[in-house]
Amino acid sequence: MTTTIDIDIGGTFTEAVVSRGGLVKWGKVATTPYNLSLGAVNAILEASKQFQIGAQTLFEETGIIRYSTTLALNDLIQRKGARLGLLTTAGLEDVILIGRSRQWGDGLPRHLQRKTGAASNPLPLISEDAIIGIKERTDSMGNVLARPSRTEVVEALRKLITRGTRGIVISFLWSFMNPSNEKYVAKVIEEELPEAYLGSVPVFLSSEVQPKWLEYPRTMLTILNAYLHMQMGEQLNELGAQIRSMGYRKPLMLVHNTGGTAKLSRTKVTDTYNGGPVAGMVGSLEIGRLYGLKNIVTAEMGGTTFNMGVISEGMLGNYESNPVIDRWAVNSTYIENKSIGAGGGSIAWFNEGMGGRLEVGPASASSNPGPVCYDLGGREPTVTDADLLLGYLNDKFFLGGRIRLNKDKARRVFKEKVADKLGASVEEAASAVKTVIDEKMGAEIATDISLKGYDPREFAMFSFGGAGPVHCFGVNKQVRARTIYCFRFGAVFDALGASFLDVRHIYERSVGITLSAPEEDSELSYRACADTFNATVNSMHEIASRDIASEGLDARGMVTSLELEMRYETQLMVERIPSPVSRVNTPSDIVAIIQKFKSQLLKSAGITFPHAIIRIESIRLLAQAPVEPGMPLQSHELRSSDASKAVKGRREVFWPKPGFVLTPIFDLNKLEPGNSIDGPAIVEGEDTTIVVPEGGRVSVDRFDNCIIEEVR
Amino acid sequence: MPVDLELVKEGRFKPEPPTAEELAAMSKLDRVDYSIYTMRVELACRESREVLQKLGISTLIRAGDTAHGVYTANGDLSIAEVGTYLHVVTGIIPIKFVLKHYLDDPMVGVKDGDIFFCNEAVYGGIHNPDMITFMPIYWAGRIIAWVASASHEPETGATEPGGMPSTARSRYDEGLKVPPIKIGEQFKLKSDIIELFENNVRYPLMMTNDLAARVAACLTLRKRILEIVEKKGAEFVLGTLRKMIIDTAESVKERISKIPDGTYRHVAFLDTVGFGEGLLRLPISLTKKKDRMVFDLTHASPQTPGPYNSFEHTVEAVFASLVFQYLLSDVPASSGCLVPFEFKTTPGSCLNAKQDAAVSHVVYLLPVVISALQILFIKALYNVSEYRKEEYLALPLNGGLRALGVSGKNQWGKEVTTHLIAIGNSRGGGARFSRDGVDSAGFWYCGYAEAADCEQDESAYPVLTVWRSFTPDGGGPGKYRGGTGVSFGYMIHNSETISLTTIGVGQRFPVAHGVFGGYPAGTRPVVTVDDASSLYSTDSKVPTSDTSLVRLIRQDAGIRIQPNSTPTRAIRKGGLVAQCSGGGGGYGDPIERDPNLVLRDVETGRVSKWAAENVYMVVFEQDGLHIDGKATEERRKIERLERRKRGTPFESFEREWNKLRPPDTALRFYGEWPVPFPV
Repeated sequence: MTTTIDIDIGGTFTEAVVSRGGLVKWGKVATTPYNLSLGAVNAILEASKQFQIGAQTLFEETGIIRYSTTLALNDLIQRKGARLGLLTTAGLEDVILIGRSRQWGDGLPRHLQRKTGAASNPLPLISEDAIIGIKERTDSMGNVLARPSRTEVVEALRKLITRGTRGIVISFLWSFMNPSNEKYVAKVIEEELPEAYLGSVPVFLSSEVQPKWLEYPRTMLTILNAYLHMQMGEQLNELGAQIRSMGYRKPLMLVHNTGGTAKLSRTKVTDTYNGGPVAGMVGSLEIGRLYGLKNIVTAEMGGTTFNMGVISEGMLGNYESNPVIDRWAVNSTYIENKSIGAGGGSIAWFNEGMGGRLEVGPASASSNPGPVCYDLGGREPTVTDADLLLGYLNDKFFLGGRIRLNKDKARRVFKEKVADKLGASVEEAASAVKTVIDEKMGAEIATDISLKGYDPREFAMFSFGGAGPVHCFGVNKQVRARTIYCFRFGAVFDALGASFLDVRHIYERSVGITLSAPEEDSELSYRACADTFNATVNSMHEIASRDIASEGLDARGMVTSLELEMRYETQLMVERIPSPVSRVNTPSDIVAIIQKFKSQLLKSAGITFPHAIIRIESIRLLAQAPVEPGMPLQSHELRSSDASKAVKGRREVFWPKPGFVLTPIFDLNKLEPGNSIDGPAIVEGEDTTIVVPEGGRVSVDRFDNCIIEEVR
Repeated sequence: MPVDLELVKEGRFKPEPPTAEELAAMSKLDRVDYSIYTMRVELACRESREVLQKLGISTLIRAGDTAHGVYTANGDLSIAEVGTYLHVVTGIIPIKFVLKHYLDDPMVGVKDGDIFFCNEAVYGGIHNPDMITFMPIYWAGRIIAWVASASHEPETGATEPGGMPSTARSRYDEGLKVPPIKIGEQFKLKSDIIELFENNVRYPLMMTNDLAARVAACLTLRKRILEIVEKKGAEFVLGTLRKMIIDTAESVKERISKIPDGTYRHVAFLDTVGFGEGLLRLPISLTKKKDRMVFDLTHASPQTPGPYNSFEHTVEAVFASLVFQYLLSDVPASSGCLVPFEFKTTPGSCLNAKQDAAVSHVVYLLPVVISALQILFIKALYNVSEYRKEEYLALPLNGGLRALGVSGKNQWGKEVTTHLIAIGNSRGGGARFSRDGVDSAGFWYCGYAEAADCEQDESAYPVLTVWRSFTPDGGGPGKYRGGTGVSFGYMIHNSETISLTTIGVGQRFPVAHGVFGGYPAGTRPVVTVDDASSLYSTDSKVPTSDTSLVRLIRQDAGIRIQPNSTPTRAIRKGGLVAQCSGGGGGYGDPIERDPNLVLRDVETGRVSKWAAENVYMVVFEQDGLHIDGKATEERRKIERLERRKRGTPFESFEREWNKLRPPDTALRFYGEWPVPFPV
């Protein structure tokens, strides 16, 4: 079995998971923003030490290194990207500044969108004087009404180059229907650009980056890719050089938010956005297969956010419906992994506008200053403080003892800011805060699953992230998932998930096919749409095969699937369905597509409209080719259910009923497959604490994972 | 059955007194449970909205003109998820009407699974494009709550397409108006009722589709409430729904108490009545005493002969749209929020019209009035240090709404009717305590509303977007400038002829006023060109605004400059219509504006050089590209001295002012001069 390395660089920590000879070890170090490769290599070395081999040997035997990062987004937030110019349809120069009329609301939580008085537009990625309109026009049917003039393009190019532009975006109206005007302008630029600039001023066409309907998100996605392209390239070249110098011979693969991986040259930078959490979902999908689970909800609770993802019918088929990257609406397709303001740092407060209702989050003390108990200056009561006061967290063993928690300070703040206002004891107040945050997360999960047309009770919950297993039992009161799974490697779950990623590409085209008389006259619809449908799919297939081959893989091993975005004509939102056919060969294929659309809509919204006209808005091809196989979890022989050997002590823990109970504390490292513990109990690992109240049971299964169930 | 005036006019938007059962249930509520389940109800309302958005057709659903609410058993609104806060009140009276008149009526009755509908302003709604669907929630054989879902539908079968006819003279010109009526039983819509609705409108598919979508949204909400009942019991739900109303009322009262007692005044004007131009006067005063506020609107112009009229209760509804974005932007929407506020209007005035009045443009009339009310709030809140923040001391988005309706065959040969909503939704934001207003900030009625992309408009409707650009000099000048609106140019394309309707105000009289020395945003008419087809075939530049259009187009192309509200007319292929969304008002004196900000605005085209020099009083260096700081300081100093010279004592100013009078043509709908409707 080949050795694989998966790196996840976050804002605070860099994690590396090394899988070698059936064993998995990981390293976690502080991120080194001044030189990211340093942190990445340190994390790998930390993991390699546990295998007791030298770095050179490890790198030489490694078959693949996959890399996920949030840093592209950080650069975006800090506006560190390239200086760009935009050539757009004359008359529509302000479109990217206007957005969809209220750009200020994109990417803001809903409660802030109500505060019209505090509205503020994000700082544009392109300065206004670098947006130039070119007189050209194509209409909704793809007919060119006006072609761009060479003189105008040359003049615009001159202006941009004089302004020090380091990248040019071309985005014209309806270019996804007919890209000829965009292509012509790109050709003129290529011919006219002074030789010295060739190569250093890349040109990005919206019809190539994202050939999809709706100009604002298409243009923004193209701009985002142009904006971050060079920065990302530089970062990765640095890391690539470093690991090659240490003996790694293969390409560095990037983790995508589409649930796959690809080489840098085949990566749109925006595909790396939120790649880590999506990798965690892929890991969940693969681990779920070991258990025969088809429906899984991932629940990752960290310091500031709670991320959740839904895997249904054994697939990663739920995409973000209104994708926003930072503050920019885009129309790319990526796996939905929702984030809400609920984490260990979430602050408890009283909403005076709601009669003093106790609320927790979305404001967070984050990691700096962090919860009161971190003793770094935090003054607001947080979820982590509550967990500590309840006795769930160990003040001397938090993060394996790396951080000492100040319980007295947390108590003082909780008394003053929560308990006294509730007229309750400090522990009762802490318990109330925990209940509110658990219910909030649980209700979000339950609603989200329901909106997708599924029953939450048919799901399993995978709980990870630093605070996840502390809260999973409480969260599940709302979700009512059958079983909760926690993992020893929960703190590096996303990096581990990346080890399951195959090369995966998604291709999309807007087609706007009208199924003119659904079902009743499928013959008519068939004649009207078969050619467009099949030609589009064939063309995407061709490109996919080429791309997979250029990744150094055998295109014959490529597996594809087809998805359709459909809606009733003039309806605003699209419904995404897995296509029941790979090509439209007979009228009955049309009927199958329509029936799939209707059944999906019936599940998610409860109704369909029998006589309304249906459209296929776009077609999406997913192409996947396996790389180094992921690390299957090792199966172990089950031993005794008796876990008493793992007991490391007892302490007073507060449970809502009956209150303080002297509760056994178990050492996660000493638990063995087969062990079973009935609550109330606390299981402590270095990075993970599992809280099992009375009525709950945690058992270690043959894959060495912890399974939590309600026993009564 | 005559309209129930007791319900509509007697303040029944305000919550009913809590029942003994509700009080008992409230006393048993656990505080943590209350926190948890009120959040759950909020989330359920959000889910209901998502269902409607997923299924809806109306472009206004995209615009956010929707509402989803949970009501107590006796019809008070406990909580709502809204696109527009306007709808906070929409469901209350229809539910109370059904309870009062039909619950015990054996010919109608109310049963589990019944579905009701209403789109009649006289019965507590806004105007007939706003359609509401509502259902009772039964538990153990009795009603324990109601749920409702509302959306704006841009077609009602009125005399003009689009549901808001400029030429309407009475209610009988405005199309389908349905009082509270049962439209479904056993959770299913009745076919005969659907037939009736479809038979009355130009776009039957939209009517039925969106009706079914609202029912789906109601059913989602109902299911979630019942889940809570199953878990916590009916008593818990009764207590929670009532407590939400009482809590919000108390919280709003407490907030108001902090404002110093006093009376604040402002006056707004409107320049149209729909079918023709004319001046309306809309003075408003706010008297604040302890925890109450009384708004006096008794001196408004008389009821108009067009659709620019409001019923008394609608004023309160539009008021909700304002305060939920500013003063109460963190307070949940419930009946309780309206408790401290009282509105006084005069019967027979345009703000308290008779039942047979046309009211379809009420949503254009009232933002002008209610925007003036925000100026009163700014004046009052400025006195309280905790409110001296931009989220409270902010002028509203431009309240002079405008819309463009198209109807006819599209490029795919289908009959369509819609409003191109981008114009309504890209209004400039008002300037604020410490910042400029946002350029293109959104829809006056709410912060959530979005506009369609050009490609979305062009895919379904036979138009080409020739330009979509920030309007030059569109924002009111001030120390902090009002945000600019957006100018739109649409050419008719791939269709021989379509019906075009423009609606709106503010072509002669500014509607987005300034405060503390800030100027109002400018006025803007509609410009149409009979034949602009040469724009793409010649070498001429593409226009980016109405003014550049007039400069660039052939003078024999048939240029017409017209008011924003103009009756429907046919426009042929190649014809072009230009309309702007208005800008926000300015905050503070423009000559106090940082000259560097003025320069930035000139560079980006938001402010013309003329305005920079003559309104902001900056002096450019000879190169015209830089500001001469010293000369600007001097110029502004002279301006201050000149202002002092121009000033006169108030009495002499008033004496001279009172001698002035607008021409009679402007006063034809005004009422008696100078105070139109003396009481």
